[in-house]
Amino acid sequence: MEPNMEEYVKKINSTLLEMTELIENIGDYVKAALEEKKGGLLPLTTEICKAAQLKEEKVLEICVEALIRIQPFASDLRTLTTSMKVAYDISRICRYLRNIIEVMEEFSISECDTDDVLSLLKDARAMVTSSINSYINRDLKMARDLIKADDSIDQRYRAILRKLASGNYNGACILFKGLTARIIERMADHACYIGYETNYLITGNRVEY
Amino acid sequence: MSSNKLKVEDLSAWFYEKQVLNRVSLEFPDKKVIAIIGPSGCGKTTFIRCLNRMHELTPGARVRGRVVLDGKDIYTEMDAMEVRRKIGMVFQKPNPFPNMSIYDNVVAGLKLMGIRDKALLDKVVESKLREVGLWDEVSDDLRRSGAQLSGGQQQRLCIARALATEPEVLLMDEPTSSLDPSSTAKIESLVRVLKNHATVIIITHNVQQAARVSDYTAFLYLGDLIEFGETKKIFESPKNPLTEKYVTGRFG
Amino acid sequence: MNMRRTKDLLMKLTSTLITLIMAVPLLWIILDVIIKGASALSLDFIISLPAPFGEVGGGIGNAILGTLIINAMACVIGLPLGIATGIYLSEYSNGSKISALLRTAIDTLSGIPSIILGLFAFSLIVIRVGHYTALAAAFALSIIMIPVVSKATEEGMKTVSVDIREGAIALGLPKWVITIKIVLGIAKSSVITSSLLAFARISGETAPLLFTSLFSYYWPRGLNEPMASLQVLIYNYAMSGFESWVVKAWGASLLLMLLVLSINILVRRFSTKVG
Repeated sequence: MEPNMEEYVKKINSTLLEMTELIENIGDYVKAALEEKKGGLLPLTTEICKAAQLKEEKVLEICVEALIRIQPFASDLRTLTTSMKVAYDISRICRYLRNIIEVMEEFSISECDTDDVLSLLKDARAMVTSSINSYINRDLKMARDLIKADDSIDQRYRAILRKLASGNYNGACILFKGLTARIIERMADHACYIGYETNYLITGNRVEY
Repeated sequence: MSSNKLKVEDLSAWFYEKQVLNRVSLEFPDKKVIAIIGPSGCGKTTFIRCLNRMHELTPGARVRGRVVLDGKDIYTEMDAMEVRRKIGMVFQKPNPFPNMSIYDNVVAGLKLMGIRDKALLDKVVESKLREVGLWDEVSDDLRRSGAQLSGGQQQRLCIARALATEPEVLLMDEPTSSLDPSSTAKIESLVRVLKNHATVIIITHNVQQAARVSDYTAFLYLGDLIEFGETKKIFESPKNPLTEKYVTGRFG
Repeated sequence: MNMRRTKDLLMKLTSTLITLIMAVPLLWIILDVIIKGASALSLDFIISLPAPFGEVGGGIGNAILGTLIINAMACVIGLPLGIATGIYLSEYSNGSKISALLRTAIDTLSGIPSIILGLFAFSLIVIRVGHYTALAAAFALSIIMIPVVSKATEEGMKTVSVDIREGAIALGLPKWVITIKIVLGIAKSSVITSSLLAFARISGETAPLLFTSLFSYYWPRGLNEPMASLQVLIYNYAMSGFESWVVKAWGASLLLMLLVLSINILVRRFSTKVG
């Protein structure tokens, strides 16, 4: 079979979508856990992240094969280099979500109010979804919008920290909420990185971070 | 701009009524390898043949515009033969002179211009053959006819011949298109060394080759210069959609 | 399948047979000349003058020398002109009107019977100077050489590919250097071959000599004098009816034939070596 860039792109994108499905699942578990403040999800989420990591490796493999066989240039070259980074970012996002479960297992959180982290999580997840969509659909506007949205996530993250610092909370809640908000903020950063990759893929220029 | 060896300004060329180059302007930096790429019939060969005044030898050929070598217009301020001694050329098919030995082929440009100093000629033969990596392969019998060598060796002999007159610019018209992969690899690594002495302008129909050997790349299409820039830029993120189509192999 | 094989075999047999038949006259002539001429050969025959009329012995030394001198003069005139014409037609004419004219002239020249060339030299030179002269003979023979050499030179130079020429042009060499040192250098073998063939050809020409150098019973005394030649000697002696002269004519024929044959062998060896 003749190596064909379109075929490789199809395979890459479908693998990236499978990864997206995995992080949607794990995101749902995290959301439910935060709402119901229940534990015991660590083994399951660990499994999901392992699966995501395997898929990340699969994307790398496809990209390396395409690089060897096609020796591509221009947008084809950029498609492969960005796909590798996007796969890494998605897999990283998966591990961040799992980290939230880890943090929950660490502290007793039944007394904590989780509304603000839940809302932060919701928006960050929306960013992740639209970042992957912008990448797969080559949607420059969507990518740029989500890069802008990152500022508001940062502000809300800082607001949560300020509230924790000034309010009257118990130590476990402060640690739990602070760490969780921090993890979600990092997750949004990775969604943002995917947006940057989309921008580079389409325009050929890298924007300054 | 002192770093630019060769400047092309508004260069157009015709065969009879057919225009094959359309107002190309370009500056070649000194001691770099510049690749010229583009689909067949885009005017690549005509373009570089305008740079050493070979184009005008073809019946019906016409040129307009300026080509400036170190500040001197090669069409109005220089004699065609002087231009060709300063701007050497290597062709698609190896073309050693069949009536001459390897030795005489290398120094043909010097000997036929009346240089008879045996010691000097010996020195040039050895140094140029070493430079193109042919010395060890042929030094045992330099009296052999150049036509007896393999295709790849013949092409390196032709490069040595072009280098013997110490050109400041070396034009190469698809120099590996008739060679096998290992000869091609040798010529490519030679090209990267040659830029220590001269500006090398190489036409190639193989975009991977252009990416491998060149510092800058120019893309020509239907006689127009579509894009010129650093090779990394042209192959990573070309500005023009035509260049993009060409380097990703989606042309026609 | 079988039918085709039979046809192939038949074809092969016929052509072999025809070739053999063709070779018969050549071998016959060679053998005949050798048998009849060999008895005349001796050192004396080659180096001495013809004996005075009525005496026995004597040789054809002056005719051998005369043929060589006349041929050499014809070469001095004919080869440079022929080669120069070939160079012009191949490299400089660019399909101009003059070149078309020149080409027609050369084709016509090669078709003119040699006796007419002899008459031409006679009327142009012999009548003017008032006596027979070897110079006129050389002139007539050189005209025979020109088309042979110029055509071969032109064709030999035209086979030099554009690739090779461009390689030379790209070295910044002047046109005349490229033409002489490279293109002519590559065409050298066809120039030499055709020169040798032209030399062999004029060695056999008799008619032009009858009107120009005629004959002499003495050693050549000067170029502007009548001069003995093998061709005219054979013509005179063979027609004389004297037994001893007829034998000398066979001997001279054998020498002339050996000269032509050895040139042909030389040409063959030369062209196979280069080609």
